[in-house]
Amino acid sequence: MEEQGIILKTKNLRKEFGGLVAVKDVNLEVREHRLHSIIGPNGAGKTTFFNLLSASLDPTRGKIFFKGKDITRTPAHQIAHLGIGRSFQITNLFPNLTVLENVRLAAQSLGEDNFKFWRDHQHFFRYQEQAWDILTQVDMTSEANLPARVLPHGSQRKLELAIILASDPELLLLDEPTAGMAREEIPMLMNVITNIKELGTKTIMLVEHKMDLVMNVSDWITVMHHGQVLAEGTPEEISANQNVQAAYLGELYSDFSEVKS
Amino acid sequence: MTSSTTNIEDAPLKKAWPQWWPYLAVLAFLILFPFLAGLTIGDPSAVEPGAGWLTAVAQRTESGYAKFWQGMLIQIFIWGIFALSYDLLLGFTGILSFGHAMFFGTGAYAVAILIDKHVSWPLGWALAAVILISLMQSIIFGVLSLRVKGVYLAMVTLAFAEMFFILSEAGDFRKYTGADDGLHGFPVPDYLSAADHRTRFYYLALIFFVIVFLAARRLVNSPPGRVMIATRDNEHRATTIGFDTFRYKLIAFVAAGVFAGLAGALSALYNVSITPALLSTDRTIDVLAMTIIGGVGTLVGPITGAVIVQLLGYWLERWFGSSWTLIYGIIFMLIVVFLPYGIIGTLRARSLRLKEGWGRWLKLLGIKSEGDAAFASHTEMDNGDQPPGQS
Repeated sequence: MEEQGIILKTKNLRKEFGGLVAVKDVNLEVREHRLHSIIGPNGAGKTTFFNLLSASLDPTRGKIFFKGKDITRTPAHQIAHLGIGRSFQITNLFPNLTVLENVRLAAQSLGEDNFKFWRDHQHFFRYQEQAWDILTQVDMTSEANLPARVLPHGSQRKLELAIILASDPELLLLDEPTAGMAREEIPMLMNVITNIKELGTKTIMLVEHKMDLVMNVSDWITVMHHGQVLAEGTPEEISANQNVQAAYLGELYSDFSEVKS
Repeated sequence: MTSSTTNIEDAPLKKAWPQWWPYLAVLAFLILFPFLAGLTIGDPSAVEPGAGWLTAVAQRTESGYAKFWQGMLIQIFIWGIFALSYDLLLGFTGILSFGHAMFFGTGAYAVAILIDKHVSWPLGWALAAVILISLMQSIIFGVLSLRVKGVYLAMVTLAFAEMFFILSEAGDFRKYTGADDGLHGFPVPDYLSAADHRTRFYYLALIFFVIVFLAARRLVNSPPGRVMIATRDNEHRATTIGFDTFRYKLIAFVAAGVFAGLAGALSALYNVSITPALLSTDRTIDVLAMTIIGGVGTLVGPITGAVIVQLLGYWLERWFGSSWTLIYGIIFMLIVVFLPYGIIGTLRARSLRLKEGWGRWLKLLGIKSEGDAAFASHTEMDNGDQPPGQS
């Protein structure tokens, strides 16, 4: 595309469910190597927007560009191969497989050995090593051989993150990574996320509805409300924005199409 | 945390050899079985006077109960292969097919028609053709039916299987298929006739059985096999980490189809008879029952199920006569209620819990750290042979 440093861009992206417009003509640009948060009250269309980006849903209208390439109708299983990794708000793991195997599969997915049915998977040692490195990164090696379903919720959220890291994506789409976690567990997970950010090689998009959580870590924030972009800016600008405060307090019901940040 | 859990060399690779000895013990027993049976339950009066001891043993293995029990085991091998193939779909990939008898029956019909008088191919060619036919059949019907999921897939596969069932009964092909009478007494080569050379047929079936077991084991532990298991566990997640799950489901479908076709061919050769019943939904239900009784999602489970169903069928029929299916139904219900993961699945979960407890006990005594205990107790879950959904 035309501009340098923009890894992801949407153009009039729209999703309708019957009569409900969940995402209403969203234009968004995500700059490289930033932590870009999308916040908004419940039902603002954040998760639907993510589902469109990760091809879990097809948009009704509009286009998505990743590194200048139109990826709007790419099948869901190819999104990971492009370099986009996605985590889910509702924990979405392989419950009967071990923690290591959960991560190993994600590493295997992007390799060349997926159809080698004549060899044991343990023969392809590099995927195991890769998975192990990532488990070390998120501090989960002691749980490596437990089935994912027996993990406590906090660890499951970390595993969710580890699975994305295994495919070494350029863009991470994290959908409420702290959802359902106990207050005291949240800093541990946010640490992992800031560590990834400080590598300086990855772009992170973070969906949250807890505003306070993202203020400290984000470089840029987009506020969504009723399927639209309500405001955009640095954390300081957003926290000073009257419209945003009103939206969070539920005082603003009117049409936002004229509202500018 | 101790070094053993942080060191990758130790963690995922468990030395495979100790895992094999139970399998080898069973295999040794199966290899020796005809002789053991001949010496113990063979009919001494079948031995011709003046025969050397080797001939005497051979003659005893071909007589009386020794011959009968070899026949029973041959049927167990055939149904074991069939059930194993079904579990590749149901237990390892999460595909519920109601049309698996299609492959079994087609394999049986293919080999019978090809060696029968109108075609008269040699047996080797016919068996190769069975593999080819079931390969093509499974690719075609896999591509057609794997587009849908769950109960819809069950319905689609049921419809395809019914199609073949109706085809086998159709009068138009009576010359080849024998229509609703089926074919009986087609020329199976004398050297392999199960009536005259049961021990030979026994070893043939055993060889097929071992090959299919090893192939299935390798498949489920291979990279695509792991994706099959991942698809069973959470297909949506498998897609988002980059797998085109359709392809892996097709691999499972094709492997299952070919194995089932081979089982059908063996069954036709053993019984020297085929009827449309081989293609009926009842056969799919049989194999589904075996898989559930033995343990879905394990390799040993469906084979165990085949053993149990065959033996139960034999004994119950002897004791209760024609009402045996009633008793069988009750036993089946009890197994489903009390052993929801099947016999092998439940045993495995028990042994895991036992190990878990043992690990906790050692930790309590300060012998092992927590990481080690967790590690030891769940290594087995990762060998591709684990039952799903236990907690």
